[in-house]
Amino acid sequence: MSRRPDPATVLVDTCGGADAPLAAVRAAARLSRSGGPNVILVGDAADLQRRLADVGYEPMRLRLVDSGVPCPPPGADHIARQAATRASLPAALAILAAGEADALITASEPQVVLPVAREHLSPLAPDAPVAAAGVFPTMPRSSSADPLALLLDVSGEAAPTAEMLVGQARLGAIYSRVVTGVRQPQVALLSTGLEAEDGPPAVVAAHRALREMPEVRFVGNLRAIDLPRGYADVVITDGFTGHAVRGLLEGLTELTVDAARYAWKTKLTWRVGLRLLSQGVGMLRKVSEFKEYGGAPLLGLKGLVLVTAPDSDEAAFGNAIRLAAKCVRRDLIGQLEAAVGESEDGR
Amino acid sequence: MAAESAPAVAPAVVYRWDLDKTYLQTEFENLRGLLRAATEGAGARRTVPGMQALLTALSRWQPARIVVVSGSPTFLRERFEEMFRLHGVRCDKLVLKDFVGAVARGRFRTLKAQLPYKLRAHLETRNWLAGEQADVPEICFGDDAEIDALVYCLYADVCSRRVDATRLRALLEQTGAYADEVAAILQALSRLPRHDPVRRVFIHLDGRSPPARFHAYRGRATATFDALQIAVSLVGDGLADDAVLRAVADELVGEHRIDAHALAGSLEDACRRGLCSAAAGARVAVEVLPTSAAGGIGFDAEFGERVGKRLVDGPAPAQAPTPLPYEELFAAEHRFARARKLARRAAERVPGLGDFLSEDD
Repeated sequence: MSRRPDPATVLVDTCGGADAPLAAVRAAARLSRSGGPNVILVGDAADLQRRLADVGYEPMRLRLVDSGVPCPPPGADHIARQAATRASLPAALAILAAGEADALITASEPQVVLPVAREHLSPLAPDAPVAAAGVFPTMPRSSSADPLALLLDVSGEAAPTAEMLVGQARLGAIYSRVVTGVRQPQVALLSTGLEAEDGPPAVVAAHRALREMPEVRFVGNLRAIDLPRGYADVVITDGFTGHAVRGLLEGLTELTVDAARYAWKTKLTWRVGLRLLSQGVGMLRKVSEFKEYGGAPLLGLKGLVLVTAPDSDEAAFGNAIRLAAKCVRRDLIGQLEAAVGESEDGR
Repeated sequence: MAAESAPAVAPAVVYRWDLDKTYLQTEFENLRGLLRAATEGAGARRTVPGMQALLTALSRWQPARIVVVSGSPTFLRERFEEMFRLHGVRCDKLVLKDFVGAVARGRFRTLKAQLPYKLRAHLETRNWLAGEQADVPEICFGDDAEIDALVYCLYADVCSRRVDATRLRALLEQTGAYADEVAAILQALSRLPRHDPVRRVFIHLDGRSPPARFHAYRGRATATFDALQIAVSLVGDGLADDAVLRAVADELVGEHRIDAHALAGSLEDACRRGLCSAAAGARVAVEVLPTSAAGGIGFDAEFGERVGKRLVDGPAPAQAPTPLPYEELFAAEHRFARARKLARRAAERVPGLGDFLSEDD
């Protein structure tokens, strides 16, 4: 039988992430109670069932699929978690590839997810790029009300060619348009300088090609220092640099929040000062919560895979499920396929 | 179809039902819901998905008796009788709460307290049933809004004398029963033979309580999310036939637009939680649901085969019942009700960017 298109069915790999599987279970249960998208939790089914019994759920909207591997206990080391994910991810991806679900969410690292996803899902076109997206907070942007911009690629893989950077720019622009509703998102290349000749050869060549592409609103190069300034909705770079940049941004955000927390605890006068700055601190907190956005997709595959932050909590998983449902409603994969098809025809 | 007329055939089973939130979708958490419940016509009352088909199908069997004990006021009797007539349900006994009488006598505790009222109603209707058949078994249906699970288990324990009169009296006093209510309950109990009539207690999770809330009942109360799970459990235990299950599926599919995957999800959950065996669930998936309206929406035999393969057995059913710590349970239920009231007031949504992400196209 054909699968229902609405509401969307979202798979969640419950073995990935630091708070696995509880964060994913609680988010899925909550959404099932409030009439959200259908969710399939993939993991240690017996353990998932025990945890569900404590939170209340709606079984008509929530299914369990056993991955055959027990989920590591709380506090388990990174290696144990990755081993569990390596069992649950293929199980979830097989369901996605079979068309029995519309999207997959995982809190495993993109560099773990991408190779497994490539094994199960075909690319949008034979030589189309596949990239992992990430999000980062920016100053308010004139082009979009979304507080977060998109960074491509964050997979950790080695430097791509100019053609791949151009392909990523096209994919990123479509994704940004689908999610934010901005008709022509601003796309930039991450480089060492603002001029067209700045940066490694692949970036220079990609810059030249993007300037000639009417379907992408290319706004030029950005330096790393420009990233939070809100000059672009989508920033394109190679996977290794993107991975490092995203990690650095997350680390800096944590550091800032920790500093504020330290100040709050240390001195009464500092606490008073923070109280006076409460509005600004609130904004800072909002920015620090960008990891709760709900993750970002692997782009370039015939299947929607969203990767959330490894330390995703219940809210982050909940938002990821909603984001996936939104992408399905707006036919992200269909739009990406059409765009890639057009560019292939144009060659 | 009179409200209190039993058919000529001797009873073989009693289906004992609560009304609000078990059979009817009622909101009594707010004033608007209360007003609607009090004024709504018989034809306008909405039932919990699948429950109308379930109760109608159960009441079709002549040796079955349908007893409804509700905390709704007596002035709604005619409306409920009319509603049952419209639904095609044979209701043999309908007991409602005398709110007007309680107010007139200044008994305000009676308005809120459920345990003394319901236990007395169950015992008195049991006396009525015992006149026809002393050991007729009962299957009870309630919900998670109040303390139906506790009342039904206590009813079973006092009938079997696992809870003696002294402990019952103390418990009733703890729950705020008036002295003459206690006396009436003990008197009704004294007329009954020592026999546990309750075979199963189904608690419909209308408020989406965590199923773990009912673990304290040591397997004696079965938490169910929907009518399909009740029907599957009844059929799995040989307490109802396949026609009951088909009727429930027909209503869920035809009137509530429940799709094949949702039915499969409910069935999988029922097996995993031990409401029925995986083998019984697989038979339902392959043989029963495809021949109901579900077959027309993709739940065909092939789909049923796939669902059947996914079913796994849950925990084994409870052994011989043991008396429960009712004093502690009553306090725990009270705490749960307070916590839920507070939680209801809090915003039930994922914080942050949830609104942005879930906005409609």
